[in-house]
Amino acid sequence: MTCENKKKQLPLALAGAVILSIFLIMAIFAPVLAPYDPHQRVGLPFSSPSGGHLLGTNDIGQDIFSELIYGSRLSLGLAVLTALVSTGFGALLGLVAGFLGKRVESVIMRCTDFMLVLPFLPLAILLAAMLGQGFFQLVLVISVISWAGTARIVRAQVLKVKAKGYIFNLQAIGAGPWYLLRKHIFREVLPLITYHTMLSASNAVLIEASLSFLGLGNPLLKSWGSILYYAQIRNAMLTDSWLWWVIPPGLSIAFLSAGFLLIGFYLEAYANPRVERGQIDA
Amino acid sequence: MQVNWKRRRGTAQYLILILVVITVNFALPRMLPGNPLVFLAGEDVGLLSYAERNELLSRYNLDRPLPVQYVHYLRDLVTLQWGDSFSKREPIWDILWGRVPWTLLLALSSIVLSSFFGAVLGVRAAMNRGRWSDIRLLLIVSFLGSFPSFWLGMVLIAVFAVQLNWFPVFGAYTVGTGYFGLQKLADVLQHLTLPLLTLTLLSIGRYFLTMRYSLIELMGEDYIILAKAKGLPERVIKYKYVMRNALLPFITVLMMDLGFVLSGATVVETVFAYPGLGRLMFEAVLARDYPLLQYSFLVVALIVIAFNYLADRMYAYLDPRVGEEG
Amino acid sequence: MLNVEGLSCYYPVADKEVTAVCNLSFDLGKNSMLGLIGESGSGKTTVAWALLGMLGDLGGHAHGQFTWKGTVYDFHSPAPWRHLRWREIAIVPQTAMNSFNPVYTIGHSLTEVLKWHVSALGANERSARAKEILARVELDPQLFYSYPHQLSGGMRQRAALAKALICNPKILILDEATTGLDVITEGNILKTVAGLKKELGMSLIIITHDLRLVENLCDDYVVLKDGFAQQPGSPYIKKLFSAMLQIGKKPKVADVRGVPILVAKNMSKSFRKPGTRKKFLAIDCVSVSLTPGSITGLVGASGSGKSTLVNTLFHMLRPDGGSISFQGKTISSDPSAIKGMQRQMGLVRQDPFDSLPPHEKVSAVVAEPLQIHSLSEGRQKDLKKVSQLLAEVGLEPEVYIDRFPHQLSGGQRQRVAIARALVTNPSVLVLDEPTSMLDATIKLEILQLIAQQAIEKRLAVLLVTHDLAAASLVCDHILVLHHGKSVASGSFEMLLQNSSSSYLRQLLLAATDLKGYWRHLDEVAPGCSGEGVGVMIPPAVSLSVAERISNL
Repeated sequence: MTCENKKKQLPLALAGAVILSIFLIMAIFAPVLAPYDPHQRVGLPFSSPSGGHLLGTNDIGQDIFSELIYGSRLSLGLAVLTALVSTGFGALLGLVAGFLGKRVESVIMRCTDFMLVLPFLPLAILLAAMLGQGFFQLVLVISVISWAGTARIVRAQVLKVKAKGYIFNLQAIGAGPWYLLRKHIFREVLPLITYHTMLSASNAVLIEASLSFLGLGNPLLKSWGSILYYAQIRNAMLTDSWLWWVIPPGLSIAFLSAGFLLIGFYLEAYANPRVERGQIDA
Repeated sequence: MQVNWKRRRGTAQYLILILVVITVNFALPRMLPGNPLVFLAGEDVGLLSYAERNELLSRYNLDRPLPVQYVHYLRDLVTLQWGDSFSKREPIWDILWGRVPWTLLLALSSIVLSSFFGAVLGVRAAMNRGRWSDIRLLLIVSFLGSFPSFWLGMVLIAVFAVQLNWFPVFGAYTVGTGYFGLQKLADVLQHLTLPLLTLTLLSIGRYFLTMRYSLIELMGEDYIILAKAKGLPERVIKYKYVMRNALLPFITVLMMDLGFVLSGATVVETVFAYPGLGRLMFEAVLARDYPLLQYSFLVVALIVIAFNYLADRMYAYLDPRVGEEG
Repeated sequence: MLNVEGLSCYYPVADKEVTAVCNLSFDLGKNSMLGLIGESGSGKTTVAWALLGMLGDLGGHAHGQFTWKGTVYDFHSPAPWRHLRWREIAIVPQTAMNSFNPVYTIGHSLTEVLKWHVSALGANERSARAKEILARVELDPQLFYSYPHQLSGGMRQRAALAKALICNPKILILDEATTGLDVITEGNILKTVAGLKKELGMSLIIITHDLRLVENLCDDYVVLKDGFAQQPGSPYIKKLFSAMLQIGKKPKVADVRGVPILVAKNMSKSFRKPGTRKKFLAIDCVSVSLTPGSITGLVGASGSGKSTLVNTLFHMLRPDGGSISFQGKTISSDPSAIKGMQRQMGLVRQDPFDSLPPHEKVSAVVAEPLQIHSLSEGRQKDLKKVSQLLAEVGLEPEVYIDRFPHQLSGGQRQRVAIARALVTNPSVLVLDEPTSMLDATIKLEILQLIAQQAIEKRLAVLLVTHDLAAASLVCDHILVLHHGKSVASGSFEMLLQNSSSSYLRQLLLAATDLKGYWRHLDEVAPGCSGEGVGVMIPPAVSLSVAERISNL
């Protein structure tokens, strides 16, 4: 059944990989691909798409197409970094909690539980507003609000692996805790962690966009969220300019987020092989 | 997505949680790098004279030891002396009080709508599992979840409010009309439609996926197969066996969802200039009005905690297994 | 009464039709018991669901005909099931533990069935009937108000039986209904069933892998293998019956009385009951000694403290009292002494499906203890050792060394587990229920392998099992545990001769001669269930409502 699932998801995972590579190329070769410097005023404000400006210009005459291309740098970089930081932190706590148990576990899980109850975006807004708006501050803020889910699931998985017969068996014949953690538990949890890294990346894209849209992004860095922020405060929706000013950045966000997610789903087939049901005669 | 639906917190844990949130609210401006006065009284403090600064310091008790500050803070919190917003020049409590109903209206009606339609679609997909109609629904729902909420709102405004002119562009009601009664209701509903649609489209996916997944799991359960062998009528199996048990994970998602919905509401309200707590946070960010921002967060967090608590109690009532396993 | 003709069942698996049962025919007489025997995957459960017309709901379909009360029906047509299900044919399924809707009380589940099948009854009559039937299966009628999760395994099994009986069916199917219970509980439940069968005039179909039950209870039997009914006298039936573990047919293993290598004296361990402050003794002053070249059996029902004892031997649990000495030296809590002892010990556990790491190949699995104890002599030498061991446990090294555990059958996995336990050349081998999840034919092979290894390598073996028959087959010495106490000890012959403890007598009887066991129960305490909790059965309740149901 797992095998079949994997087969079915392969085209979707490939689609995800294609999307991510397109954005990666866009980010790496931004100076080559972008016709203008996105920070320079290169045309009349609010101009419609034309041969010179594929997606027109914004309220201060910057080229939107160039902004879009440069925006991939921030979104992609931030997504990857945040995913690594938050999943790494969450996975570490989950491993420690699941493996050590007792007091350590209950303290960590209590914290996780609290984090999961709090509404994440309002918390992010509060933290971002107070910490300031650098790139690394954003990474920190998004990581702080998104580690808990990973910690919780990794811990559950560690407990599951720890309860397996073979772990008991090896313990009984003298295998030490670090040996088991290194050789078996970590290896069995790893696919789940990879899956969660993708999930975090996908979420980070959306949260970064939301924060930038709320004016909490870095004003010096071009981001898809901040393009939409200016579109919003200049009421782009009220004119035809929403077609080139609002739609493209939104689609970029959606595609990047979905790209991570599609690969994640594929990895999940490894991470979470469901118990095969429907065996009638056991 | 696997939902650990046996999770449950005790009342004591909720009280601790509230205390933590309150304490964070106290600690943030005092612990973060930078001048706490900026966070408490606004960025103009740099321009103040020495005497004025000292006066401000003592007004916020910042010249006293932390425990004393904390006691003062708690007392003010309980007696609703939350101070004034310097950007709006109004007591924070009054501002928040005016905003809470709008957020609740938006968030709760979105939860009702999205859980209802999510459940209905989830049941339909589960019944047709593996067929084209199921996969189509799955794809659409997963795709919808990838869109940024504010962007969906902007597109809806451009299409339905501007191009088609079916709905108003922003706000929660038409200002200065003196509508009352049914007219007022119609006006409010008309303003509510687009933000509600945005929020519902975004959260319908989680309900859909949960319902579909738990139904598929449940239909393989031995007691459901046996119910058929017992010759029970289809509708008894459907409602008293399948739906009744699927309700349990559903409630958990409902419970976890308010945090998501209020997060979504924050940006959706901003797009539609809907006068709720989310829009208030946006305004506070723009004005760098930190106390207003902090107390808005405090209220949002307390609302979420309260609803979680309610959902927890409801869950215990629905599942006899809870409460004895501890 | 029931005549099945040419029943075939099919399931679609990955775009293909798989035949689960092929052209099966049998007769079931009035008031008789039919045994349906087969190992896992033989299609026996499929037959049960087909008789209830459930295959369509499980994704398959059935062909063939059956005659019921003189009328011929087709398995293919959906018409008669509504009237047959539960009123005429009821089932206690394999997973009776999970056969109740968890959100309703037992009473609700019982009365609900009545409500839909016997509409003439009012709510009060339904409750009365439900309580009555609970009493009939020797459960406390107050369980009417309990939720399924509040019942123990044996009680839930009885409750499932009550649910099956509530409409007075003419045919009752027991689908491995007592598998997983210890022999005494199993014997008690079957006694109830046999009594009810006589009283209510039912016919029974007993689906099981356990030939012992069929031999003891059934008038007739059908053997299924891979969906095909086996002809009487076929090689498979012969093999199956010869693999049946019969008590006392013990091949002499060895009669060495050497010096014990591992002696555990007066071991005690208590645990706190979950959720309460009460403590209970899991093991209470139990002693065991293991001698090279001989097999010691540790026999007891689940919850008797077997696993606790094993865990203390491996230092996985710190005992409250008692001492362990190994090779004449008392093992203190010093970690290096413990590790030294652990190196000399091998362990094989029950569940072949999770006792091997899923992400490693057989070669790595078997060699792992070498790495844990830093005994590895380089890859090549290790591989050679692994190959040799695989050959010794009956797996061709060339075929199996590069496989992953999920590519092996249950029996093969247990062989790999045994090879792994032997790789460090241990002097003690502990096997915790090594055969309880295996089919009968494979079970015998594994037991033979264990006995052979014990003699060849002069291993001191501890075989932990709930199966007295298996223990009697290979063990030189048997220790019987009951509620944490050692109730008997000695060779199997000695146990047979002076089975003074009443528990041991019951165990022996239940494991060998079910009917003899029932007679014994009636002699000791007539009308008392031996569930161990001592539920008293209320005086027989009048069958008035039951009679009315059968008259409808």
